[in-house]
Amino acid sequence: MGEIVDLIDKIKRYYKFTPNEAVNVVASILIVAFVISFNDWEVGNLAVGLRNLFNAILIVTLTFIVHLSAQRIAALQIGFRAEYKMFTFGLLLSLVIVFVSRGKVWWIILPGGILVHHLAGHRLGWWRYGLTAFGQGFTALMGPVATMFLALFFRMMKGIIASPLVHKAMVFNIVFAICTMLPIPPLDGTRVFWGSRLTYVFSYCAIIGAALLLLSSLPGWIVIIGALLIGVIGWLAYYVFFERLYRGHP
Amino acid sequence: MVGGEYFFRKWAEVVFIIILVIGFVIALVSPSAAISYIVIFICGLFAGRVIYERKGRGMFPYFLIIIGFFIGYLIGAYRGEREVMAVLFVLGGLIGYYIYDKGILRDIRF
Repeated sequence: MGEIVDLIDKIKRYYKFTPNEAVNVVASILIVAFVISFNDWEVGNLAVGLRNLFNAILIVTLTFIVHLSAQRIAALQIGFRAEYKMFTFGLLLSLVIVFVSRGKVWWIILPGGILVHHLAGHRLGWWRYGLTAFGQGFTALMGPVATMFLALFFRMMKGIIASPLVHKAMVFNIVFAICTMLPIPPLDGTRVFWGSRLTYVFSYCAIIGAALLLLSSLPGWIVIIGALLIGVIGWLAYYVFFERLYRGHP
Repeated sequence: MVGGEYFFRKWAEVVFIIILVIGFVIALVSPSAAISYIVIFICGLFAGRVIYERKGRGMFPYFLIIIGFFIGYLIGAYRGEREVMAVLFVLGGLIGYYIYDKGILRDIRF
């Protein structure tokens, strides 16, 4: 109980976005929303395009809130503070690709990553005390995992509300989770990769597995178990064929 | 010189050629003049960001690479006016540099 009270207190104190971070988040949301709604603009019909852009902004904002909140809360839980930083090159690259491909390649989304700060007083009693690569990796991983759970939520909503918007939200969340897990600095995948290679392989395989299963018509609980199984298989295969050879036989 | 040493000594020239080809291909696949203008403007923003980051830390190789991209793009751009593209690229570069110089946007590589 004490830990929960402590976490709630830390959220109250440290959750809020700094002004610079807010600018980064808003810029990222607008660019990503434009990229995913690029195909929905109609020549000579501005109203439809703007409506689709507005819908895309709603979807992307929700995804960003869930993604960043999961990372911030996970970071606070272990005595760190996560700060979002946009990846200008990645966002501009997404824009260029979507323009050049006429919106066909909208699924290359490279939004940004997190900087992890050490909260000196709140790390007291932790081993190791300072910033750790694994701690940063764990913090970063929570974002894509939360995004996949949001995709699962939208998948369940699809059964209740048969709307193309819900389907689009689900697909976007899947793409967002997969793209942010790429090991390209400063995306979340890099932090996880440098935190622990085995965790990276397990989590990325599980996320890709979940993505494939979410796009099928299987029930939600099978998606979760199936994704974990795929993650374990990927993790084991990576260990047997690469990691074990690299580390040497026990 | 072996491959690695050659790249170590001449990396700017090698990247210049690669980026020139990339610029050429991007310009070639741009479906219309308007999109060519938008893309070159965005690439100008890229360039401004690169120049800002290299400020006071040896800019010439990066400047060469940016020029390489620009030349490649102009060679490949068969839709639209090349003068307009040049203006938009420079304008994009200035805006890209300005928004980082004034601290409007900040980002990280890692």
